[in-house]
Amino acid sequence: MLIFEQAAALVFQPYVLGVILASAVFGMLVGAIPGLTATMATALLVPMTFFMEPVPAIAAIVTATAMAIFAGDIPAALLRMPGTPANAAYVDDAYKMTHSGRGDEALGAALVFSAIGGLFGSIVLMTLAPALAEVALRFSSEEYFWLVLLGLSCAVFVTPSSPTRGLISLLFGLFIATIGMENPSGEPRFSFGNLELMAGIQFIPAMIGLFAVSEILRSVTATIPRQKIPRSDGHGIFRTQWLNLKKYPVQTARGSITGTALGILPGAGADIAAWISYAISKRFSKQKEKFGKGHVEGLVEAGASNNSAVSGAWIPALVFGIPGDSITAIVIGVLYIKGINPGPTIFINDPQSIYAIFMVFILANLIMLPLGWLAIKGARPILSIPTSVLMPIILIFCIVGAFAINNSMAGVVMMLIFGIIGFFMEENDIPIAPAILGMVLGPMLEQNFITSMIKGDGNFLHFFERPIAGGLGVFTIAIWLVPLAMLLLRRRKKMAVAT
Amino acid sequence: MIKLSELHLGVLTALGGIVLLFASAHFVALPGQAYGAGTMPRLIGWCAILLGGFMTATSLRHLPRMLKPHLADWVRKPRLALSALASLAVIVFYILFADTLGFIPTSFLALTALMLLLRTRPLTAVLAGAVTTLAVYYGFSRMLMVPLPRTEFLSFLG
Repeated sequence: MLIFEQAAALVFQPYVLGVILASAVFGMLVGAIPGLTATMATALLVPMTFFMEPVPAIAAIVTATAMAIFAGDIPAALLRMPGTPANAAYVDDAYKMTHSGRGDEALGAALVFSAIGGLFGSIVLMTLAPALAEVALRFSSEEYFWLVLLGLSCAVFVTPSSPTRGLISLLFGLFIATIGMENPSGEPRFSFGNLELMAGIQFIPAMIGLFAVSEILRSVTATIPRQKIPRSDGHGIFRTQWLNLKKYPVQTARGSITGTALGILPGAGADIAAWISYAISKRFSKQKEKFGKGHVEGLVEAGASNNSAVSGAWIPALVFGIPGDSITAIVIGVLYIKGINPGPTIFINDPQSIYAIFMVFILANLIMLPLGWLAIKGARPILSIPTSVLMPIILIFCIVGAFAINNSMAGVVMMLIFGIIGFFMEENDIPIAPAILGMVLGPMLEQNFITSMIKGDGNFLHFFERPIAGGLGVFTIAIWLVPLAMLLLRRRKKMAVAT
Repeated sequence: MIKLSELHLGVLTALGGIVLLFASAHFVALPGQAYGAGTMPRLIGWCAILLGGFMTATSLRHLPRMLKPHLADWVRKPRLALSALASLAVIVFYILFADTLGFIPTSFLALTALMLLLRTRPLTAVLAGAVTTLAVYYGFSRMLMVPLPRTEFLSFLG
């Protein structure tokens, strides 16, 4: 109880509440602007969090991301432009509802079911994370090696374009992680005698480049012009939602569970959760034919799913120090900078901070309702800002943000280089998320691999000697081999039919 | 921007792997151990070679289509290509001149120029450039104490 009171004291103070409110508004703004993602909101927030205590810093990120994911539904419903990739799954339904005079119902459903999904994910986070942490305390380098490898494998397999492109991205991220002196023998690698590179690639400028600068480049080179915004006065947003909740309780629960589960899976974030939930909703719906034509059912399920995934992704991040998505990858970087080492010991060494983070999750999802209502009402002016004004403003924020990490121009140079790389990758359908996971998990993979190999005297079978490590190892290898076996079987069947 | 096919990406990945193997050949192992600084880069190198080889081999079936790189739609539209270049040029301009000119003039010039190039009306560009520059300057420099580049002749602003 004392820990709970200490956590409450950390959260319920004017400064932290002010930070939560300000970052909620910021998240809403970023989410509502098409092309700007929740990850970008996090990347832009990081330089600000440098000047905060750990709890307000994490509170700012939690709130902004939750708000951004919901706010992405506003341009989706009004402009047919999903604000973030996590809102893309049901954009047609939301937009067609708006055009048939049900815009408020669409936006209301997005808001209410986002909050429900977010709250569900937060409750799972609060109950599951401490229990998992107790198990994780018994983990050694072998278990962590397999866990990291499992996370990296999932990131590749859930790549929307193709697993090979996901793998290219992952290898690139792992290579970036090898730059510098932070390796088992402390030898400078790929630094070319450059002092900045000897310290390794600065994570935050690289992140700002990969996400924000590449997004700016994409936005200024977009060939499709924006559409006119239909009128939506924001009245009756909540009126129809009680009926929707009574009509679709299964969909709400299923979306929340699917989202949380996919959020926990390293590499699969809110984007994938929304797509899968929408597909599940359609598969089990009694009105399949209405999907994509202005039907609220898929919106309810996928809307709950993408926000619950945001909370779910924090479970592996806090318990194992393994990010569930690109947002938690950034968060792990922030936690390290703040002197909090994510992992099971955090629950022993710093329980009040953990419970404070849990409280922030609940708070963020609750204030989403009134703030979301205000955002829906005030959406038109935000969405009317032309790209030609908005993008240069965001660019200057990126520059200053990258500079502020070390107060050095090297951060800006790194941001520029990674911005170009990120743009090139996205133009060629190479996803960025596996690269980020590679950058974050690379040092952990290397350290645990080499430690285990030394412990096992070079015998790879040592990785299977401990029961949990063995189980995780078999599971990880099965994940690699099953798709290959399926592919071979399918080919053999085809050949048999042909002959 | 060139859009690369599976074949191009495969060849590039394999080449990257080979370069990585050569570049990490001289990394020394931990004393008395077979592992060290070179282990991870070499593993990544071998994975890249295998992946690149697999991608190249599987894309050979569609050879004529895979050989020619495609251009993105925006490359054919000079205005959009110029916008992309201008966005990058603004960052380069900032890197080169911020320490000499100071944050306020560099940021204002960069913002205004980019907005004008993106076809914002001149008055809007100048106003938005000035307001943003001052807001960012006061926000980061005064409130967050980030030592943004500054010069003496505009010191009265900060």
